[in-house]
Amino acid sequence: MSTSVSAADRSGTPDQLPTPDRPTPAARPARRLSGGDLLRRWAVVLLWVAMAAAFAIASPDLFLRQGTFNIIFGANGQLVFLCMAVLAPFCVGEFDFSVAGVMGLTGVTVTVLYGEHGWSLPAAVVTALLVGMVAGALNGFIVVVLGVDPIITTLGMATALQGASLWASGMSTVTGLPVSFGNVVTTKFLGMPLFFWYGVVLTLAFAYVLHVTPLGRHMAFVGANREVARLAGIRVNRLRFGAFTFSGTIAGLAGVLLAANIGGFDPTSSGIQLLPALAATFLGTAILFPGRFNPLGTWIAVFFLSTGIVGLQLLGLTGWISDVFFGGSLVVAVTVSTLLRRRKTRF
Amino acid sequence: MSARFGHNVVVRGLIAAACASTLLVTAACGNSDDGDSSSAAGASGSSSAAAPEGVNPEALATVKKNLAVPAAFEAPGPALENVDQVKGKSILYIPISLQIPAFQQVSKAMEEAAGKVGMTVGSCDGKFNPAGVAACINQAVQQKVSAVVLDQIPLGLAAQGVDQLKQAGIAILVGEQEAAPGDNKLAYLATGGDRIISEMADWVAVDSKGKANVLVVAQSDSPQQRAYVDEGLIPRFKKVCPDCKTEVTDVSSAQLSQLGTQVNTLLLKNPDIDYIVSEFDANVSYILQGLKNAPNGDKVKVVSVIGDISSLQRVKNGQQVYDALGNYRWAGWALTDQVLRMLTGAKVLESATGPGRAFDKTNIDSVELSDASIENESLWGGDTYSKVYQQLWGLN
Repeated sequence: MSTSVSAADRSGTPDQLPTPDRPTPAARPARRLSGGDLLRRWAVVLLWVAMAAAFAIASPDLFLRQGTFNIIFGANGQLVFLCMAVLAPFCVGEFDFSVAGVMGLTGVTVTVLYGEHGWSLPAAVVTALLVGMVAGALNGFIVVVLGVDPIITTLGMATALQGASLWASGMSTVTGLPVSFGNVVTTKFLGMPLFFWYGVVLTLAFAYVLHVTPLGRHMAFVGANREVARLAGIRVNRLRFGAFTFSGTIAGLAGVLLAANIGGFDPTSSGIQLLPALAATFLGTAILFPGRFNPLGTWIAVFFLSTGIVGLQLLGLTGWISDVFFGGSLVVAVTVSTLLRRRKTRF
Repeated sequence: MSARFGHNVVVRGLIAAACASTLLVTAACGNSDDGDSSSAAGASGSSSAAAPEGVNPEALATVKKNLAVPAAFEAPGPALENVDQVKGKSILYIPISLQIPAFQQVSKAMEEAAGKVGMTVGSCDGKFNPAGVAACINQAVQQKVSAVVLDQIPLGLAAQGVDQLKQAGIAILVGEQEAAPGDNKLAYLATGGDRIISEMADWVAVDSKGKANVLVVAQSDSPQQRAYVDEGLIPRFKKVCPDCKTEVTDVSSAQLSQLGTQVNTLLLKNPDIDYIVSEFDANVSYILQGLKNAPNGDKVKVVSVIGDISSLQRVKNGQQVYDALGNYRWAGWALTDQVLRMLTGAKVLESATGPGRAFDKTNIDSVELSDASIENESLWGGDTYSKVYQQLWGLN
């Protein structure tokens, strides 16, 4: 049994499939975009602006503040990392639902090694990152080499990693990381914590690789049609394995940075990060490059969702409304994008 | 995927709630008024006999008592007779989940305590769901045990099972619920659960000298959790800190990922907030994460209870200013004592109080923060209760 994400399935338009010699739409030389093209690429961004305007009108004293801006953009560092971790396997047509579990294990690992076993901080950090990388590589081995379904594999891995985190932590929150380590992520640059800027750098680097380099084109090709990519000479399995390993490494890095941010880690807290990451990643397919998983769209989606949540909370709406907004905005955005794309195809 | 996510969230919430309530019961009073003076100085260094201006004297006394080493344990009730008649009988301990270390410790303590009178104790995992609890009750009926202890399991969750147990003549002890009169067939054991939460108000009243702006983070997964706040904490604030301003925000286990921004936005709306009082310590990591990006996050003091060693480490390094925790091993002995009262025909208790202790910057350095401190009970001044119970049971 095998499950994969196909860009062709998503788009339904074979002309959009990239080939090694024909770059992805994102990498193609600029062509004239119709109004419809622009609308479907930027619809969610426009919606984001409209939503922010609505919140600003409804609550100008609170929403139009520097503090609100900081909350929206400064409190989602680990989410951006998790999204990029999820994105890599998606780009090559695979799934990885273990990223939150990896994040939890590395967050616990760095804290326990330093706080309870007396390791030096660099050694604890490197070991934690290696744990994340190995977890991702193990996913890749099972899925790519053994041919096991990625959904089952990574869900199982997520559960196993959560159990390992609980074991390593003694089933309780672990603390003890030095405050100075927290400066790595909390130090402000241009008014925003470094955690935010790390996310920007990661997103831009990922976007560059995906949209500009041959590696990115090959990833998109593998994601669109694995068999055709293989016949075209692309080392498909190597890319798939690499995507999983990259995913584990980035998720591991998210765990280390999150642990630095709060000085420790709660092993039971990582699981609840998965759904927001998946929501932002899927919503990102409706932004800038409709129908395609892309880092820039995902980054925008993270803060689109954050704007909505924070705006609603400022209006006094908390609790169930957050879930409704998360799920509803995802469905609406992807539906609008799909309808616009279908309309373009028809005409 | 979503099912797994949902499961994790629910488990997370239940763990938080169950841990909280379990620790609640073990953190009841019994503190010494004349404990270590250096650790009982109280918040804000208010060590003088008279309360400083603005500080409620009752709150100050409560804080001193809670920060002190607990007093020696006192017998919770009259001595038992004919305890030897229970020799060879068995108890089945059914907690809401055996995945939680606290319940494992209670189970282990019950085995130890019951072993002193020749009884055996088995345990069965309630698995956080009615089906798991029902399976355990069936096991109890099949094994023909003498008593069942339902720990953190509301009777409503096991209504049919309770009828089964009654018909089988098995004594039922409901642990960690509200105090209620019982008999030898069905009894309860409350241990002052809401007190540890409500007495956070005392510490805030003293620390702020009666002028705090408090954001209370209330868990809303069950009516009982909310009652701890509405009927315990908030009235306590009104009593010991009438000039304190309180604002309550709810969080459910399904919404924990939003708690950080929820706290942030509330601080943005009310920048005067200088204390965050979290009903349960399990939510503190989310709150701290949110405070990192809050405009005045570094000026807000985080107060919580139902902690563990990691919580105390947060108190030590200044991330959190107050925590309180109870003694699981004592809980096992207290439950065993109540079972013995039921099986020997003695009058059952409605409540019991055991060792509990609060920590802030004034006394956190007086204890060693390691798992060994919990195992050897040095956090609470050592084991002063097991001999008392054995004497009650007629053992040397």
